[in-house]
Amino acid sequence: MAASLGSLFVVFGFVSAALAAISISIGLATDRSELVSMSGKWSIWTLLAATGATVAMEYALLADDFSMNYVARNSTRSLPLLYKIAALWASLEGSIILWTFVLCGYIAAVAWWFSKRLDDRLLGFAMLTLFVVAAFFFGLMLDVASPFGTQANPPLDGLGPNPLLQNHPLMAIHPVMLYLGYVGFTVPFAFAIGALATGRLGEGWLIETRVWTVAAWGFLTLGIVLGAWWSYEVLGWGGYWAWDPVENVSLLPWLTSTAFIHSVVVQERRGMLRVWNLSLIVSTFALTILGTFVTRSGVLESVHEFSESEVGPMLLGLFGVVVGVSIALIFWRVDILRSTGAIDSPVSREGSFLGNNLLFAGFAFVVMLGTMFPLLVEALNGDQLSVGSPYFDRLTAPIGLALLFLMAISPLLSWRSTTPDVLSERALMPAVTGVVVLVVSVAAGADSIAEMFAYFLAGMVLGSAGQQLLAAVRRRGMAGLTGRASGGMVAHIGLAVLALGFVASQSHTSEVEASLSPGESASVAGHKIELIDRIDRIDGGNPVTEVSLVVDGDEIHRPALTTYINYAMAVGTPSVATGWSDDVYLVVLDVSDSGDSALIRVIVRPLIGWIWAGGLIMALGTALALTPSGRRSKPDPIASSENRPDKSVTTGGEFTGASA
Amino acid sequence: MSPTARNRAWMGVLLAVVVVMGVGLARADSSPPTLSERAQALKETTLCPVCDGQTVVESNVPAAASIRALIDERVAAGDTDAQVREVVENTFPGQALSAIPPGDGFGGLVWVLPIVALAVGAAALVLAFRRWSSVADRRATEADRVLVAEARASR
Amino acid sequence: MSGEVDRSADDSETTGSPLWAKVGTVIVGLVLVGFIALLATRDDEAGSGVSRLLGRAVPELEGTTLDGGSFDIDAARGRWVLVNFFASWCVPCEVEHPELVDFSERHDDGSAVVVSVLMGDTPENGRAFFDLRGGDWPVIIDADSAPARFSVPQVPETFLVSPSGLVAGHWTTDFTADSADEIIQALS
Repeated sequence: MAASLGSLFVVFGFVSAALAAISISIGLATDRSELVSMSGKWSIWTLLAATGATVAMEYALLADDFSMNYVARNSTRSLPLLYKIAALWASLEGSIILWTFVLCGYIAAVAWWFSKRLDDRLLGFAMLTLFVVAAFFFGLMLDVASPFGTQANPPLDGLGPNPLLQNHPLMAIHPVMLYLGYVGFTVPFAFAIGALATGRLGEGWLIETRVWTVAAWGFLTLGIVLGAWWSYEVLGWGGYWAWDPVENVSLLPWLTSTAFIHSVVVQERRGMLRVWNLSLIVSTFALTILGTFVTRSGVLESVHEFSESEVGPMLLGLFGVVVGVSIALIFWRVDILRSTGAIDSPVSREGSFLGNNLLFAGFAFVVMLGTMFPLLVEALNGDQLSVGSPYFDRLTAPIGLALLFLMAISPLLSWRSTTPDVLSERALMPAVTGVVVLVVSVAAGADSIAEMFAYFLAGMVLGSAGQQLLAAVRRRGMAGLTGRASGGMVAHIGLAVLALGFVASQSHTSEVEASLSPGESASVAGHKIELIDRIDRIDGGNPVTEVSLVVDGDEIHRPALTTYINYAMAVGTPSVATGWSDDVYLVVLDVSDSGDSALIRVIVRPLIGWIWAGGLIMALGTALALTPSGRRSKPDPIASSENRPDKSVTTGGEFTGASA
Repeated sequence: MSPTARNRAWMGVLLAVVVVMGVGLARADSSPPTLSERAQALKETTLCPVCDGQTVVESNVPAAASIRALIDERVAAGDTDAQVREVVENTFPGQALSAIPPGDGFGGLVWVLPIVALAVGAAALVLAFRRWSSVADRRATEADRVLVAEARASR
Repeated sequence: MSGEVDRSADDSETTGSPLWAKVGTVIVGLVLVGFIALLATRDDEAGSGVSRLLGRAVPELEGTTLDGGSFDIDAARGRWVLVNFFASWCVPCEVEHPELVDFSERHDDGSAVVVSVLMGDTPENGRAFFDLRGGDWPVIIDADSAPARFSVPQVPETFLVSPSGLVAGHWTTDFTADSADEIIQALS
């Protein structure tokens, strides 16, 4: 029932997205605006279809309908409710449903947001792009990643999701955030295509998609940080970031979009960097597709992986089409993309944004090269080599320090140019803040030069962002905290907090493995861990051994070791005693079958909780940036998109002629 | 704050940074690494052959445990770091287990390319600023007026 | 020089000529085509299953066995030795275990010995595995670096060692007593 309804919704969604794309194309080609502006209605149909497919799958998951292959593979009767819901994104086919649902939600939201202007050609091309992407994802579900396949003889119980995906509530949030971010970049990408196609390459499309870009960036930031948090809480090795290919490809669009949200300001102010900004937003969207390809195709995984799927080539094809079309359009529009602006001084806000972009582009290059280089070498001369965390650590550390330096200085610079005198006055308090942070960190044990620079600079970032926020609040009261500039400063504070946590936790780790019996204790980095007892029980058919440990005499923690029968896999569930200054990370490695002792690994890492706190502050900053500041009247979007009309009419006509 | 007071404050900041960092560095452990520290460093830069880019420290699969044991054995037997790496690298032929790409040959490009790219980018940026400043000088008054007007309008 | 000319000269100076922009776009496009081709043609074949040890001297293998004794492969020199890496939670290991039992029974005259190495598992589980599925040969429980020395990334893997201490046969999941005996007959 749910399966056939679900399949029906997929077909319905594919047909309506395809029809939408076709009718908008015809409307654009023949200049029939009534066809172009129908995109609003189409968006409702596709959203309906995507919602139907999502509900059908969720219904089947909650109803334990094991006649559906996906449910049989990814859920079990005994799975807690939260994980049954989250099983929607536990593996490939379900993830594509979620992706499509989010995309159709964005499409409908765009149609609603711009509902008065849907006959505008730029919006027409943007909606066309969005529907083509939606049709692609519905198409995946029609064939290669069909989620609604059934079997005649349903098993009595399902296999359940991979054990690692069923023991932490963050699993229910982190993928959703990541997808809201990933998919959100389709919107600015579609507008970029619209701007290129119509030739209205002024600042209009940038300003109109600003909200969408910033929101997608916020979701992506939260998604990445929550993902790191999840792997810290679940994977049991006490780390959260290993520079593995899947992590790297999720970081790439973050790097390019962060560069983008800074460099658009230069284009808004000076009309410069048009090609660069287009390239950044196209790259960001293309990298989200590439990231999904890498995650889903197994192309970068080691030899014993078997997650091969036909979705890989399709995603690679979409990646090719995205970059191909974008490059062709940019090539075609190169003449009108030229800008005449100039930047007066490197010591200015816009000058520092250019530096920021150089560093982010360099950072992305390092991550991309390191991730893809083994493939390149193998293809060119058959050699095997690996690029692991030491490479990324060594090359990204100096770039990260330089970025911290710019973050500390940039908010203090005026537009156009800043005299050394003014800068020295404004930078003094931030520098003092940096010294305070440095003194505290050295007192706490910092002892390497890069580490100490990082603390000093992160302190300066806190100082300069705090100084800006304080000034804004003095001027306008609490309302001063809202708006793009202040929201940005809050995000800077979040990143500085995150950087402090990252550097401290990477630089100082104490780790001990100890076999403890009840009453025995171990001591690690000033923390005393005592084993109280050990309980063996059966939970959902799986044997669980829970060990009660008392940390520093008061907090009781119960890390566990669960053997998942269906997977023949023992998975440790770590328990973390979180503190302001450090975390005590407890993992059960092994339990003796006779007796009541357990082998425990204790890892103490400083300031690790600051990373998650920093990520949450960054998300808060994003929300503040999206809250209208009320400081200046909102520019009329219609006026701002038409205020460079000189070329739009003629070039739009040219395009029509060429495509008709 | 008067300029002189400010300059004094900056001297103080500079002095504080140098002194505090000096204290931190002086405290750093400079004794040669012990056997277990060396083994740990080797494990942290050796990849597990069956687990997607995780190092043998991070992974708990049997193969990783086995390589950890092998590293401990070789280090205890007096091998140098390079010798241990060679032994480990030879255990799983066809797979590169060192997480550090080689610094020479074609593989060395992975180290060189980012530095070249950043240097070229930085040079291009410097050249652009030069050109812009010369342009700005030549028609300074007109551009200034426009920009000031723009800035005022958008404020 | 007229103002018009001056200005256009400035423009090209500040932004570079469109020719360069076009050339740049084409170069970026070509790099990306190469990149996509690289990803599309990537051969996902896993490394060949042939062990590097074939024809080489067997690595050292000694350790404590399940029954509390010890085993050293050097002491078995002069006889054929079948070395099997396994774990109780590994399904292919269960599948091939009867073949190992068969091989062991065929050679209970002492012409060949079988030794198993428990990998990533507890001795208790290993004992239960043998109690349930038969087999009475030594099982090494402290594998330590043995899997690495034998280049065994995952269980099961089986090696046939000749009386002179050379590795003569290697199986990943498809061990059969017949195929082992074929090698023994061919080389005897």
